Amino acid sequence: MPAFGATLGVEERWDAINYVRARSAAQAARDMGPRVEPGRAWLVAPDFAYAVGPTPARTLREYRGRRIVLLTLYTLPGSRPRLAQLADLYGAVAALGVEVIAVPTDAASDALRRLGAAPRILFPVVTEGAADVVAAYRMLAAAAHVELLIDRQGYIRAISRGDGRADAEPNALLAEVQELNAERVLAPAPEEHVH
Amino acid sequence: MRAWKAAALLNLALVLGVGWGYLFWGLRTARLEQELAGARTTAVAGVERVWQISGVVRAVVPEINVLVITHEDIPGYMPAMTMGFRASSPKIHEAVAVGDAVRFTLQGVPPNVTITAIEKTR
Repeated sequence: MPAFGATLGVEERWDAINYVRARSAAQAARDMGPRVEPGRAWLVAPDFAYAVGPTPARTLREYRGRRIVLLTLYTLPGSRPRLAQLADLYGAVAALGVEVIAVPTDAASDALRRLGAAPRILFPVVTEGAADVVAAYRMLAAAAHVELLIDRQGYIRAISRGDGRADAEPNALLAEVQELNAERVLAPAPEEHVH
Repeated sequence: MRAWKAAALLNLALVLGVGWGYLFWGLRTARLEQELAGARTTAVAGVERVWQISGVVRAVVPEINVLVITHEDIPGYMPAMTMGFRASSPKIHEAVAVGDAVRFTLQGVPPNVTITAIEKTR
C-alpha cells in the first residue's frame, strides 16, 4: 500500500480509489462524441436521484432495462432553441423508448416557471437534485448545453456538447436512438461500487 | 410398540393439522385478495371520487380547457405522473401558470374526472 496506507481507513482508501477512477473516466469521456459507437459500452452513467415538483424522488438507475435516457444539462437562455426542438421531438423519442430528463445547470428550484409556457415542455425537468447531477456530469462534459445518451444498461454512449442552438439535423437524435434500439445487449448493467 | 404407534399418530395428526391450516389460510388469503381487487375496481370504476392532490403545472391548454400537471400519486386511480386533466371551469386554468406548485381537487367517476378547484401553494 502506498504512503497513505497507514493514515487512511478502509472506506477512505476506497473513496480515494473511486475518486481516481472517476477522474480517469472523466478524462476518457472527453473523447466521446455525439454519435453512438456500436459495440462500445464502457462509461458508466453516475446514478442520481431527482424530483419534479412534489412527485416522489426517482433515480437514474430505475430506467435500467426499461428506457434509454437523454440527460440534458441546459443553460438559459442559450438552450431555449434546443429545448424547444426536444419538446417537438418528445413524442417521437418517447415512442422509441427514450425518456428526456432536463437539468438546469444553475439548479434553479423554479426551473419550470423560468422555462415558461411556450413551447410546452412535458418531459421531466429536475427541480430537486439538480446541483448534484450537474456537479457529477460536468466532470464528463463541460459546456453550456450538454446531452448525454444513456443506454438501457446504464452506460453513456454519446455526448453532445454545445451552446443550446437547435440541431441542424433534428433527426440525428432519432438515428442514434435507433442505433441503440437495434443493438443487442453488450454488457450487463454496471455495479455502482467497486468494493 | 404402543408408544411408537402413539408417536406416529401424533405426528400424522400434526402434519394433517398444519396442512389443513396452510390450505385454509391460503384459500382465505386468495379470496380476500380477490375481494380487495374487486372492491378497488368498483371503487375506481363506478363511484364518484374526490381527491386532493399536489402537483406542478406543466402546461395550460385553454383551447380545450385542459391543465397538464406533474402530480403525486392519486390513491386508487393512478401513480405519480405528468397528465392532462380537464378543468370544470375556465376560471381554474386562468388562475395558474406554468411552473406553479398547486394543490387541486380532482372529482368524478374515473376516468371522467375534472379539476374542480385549484390553489397555488407557493
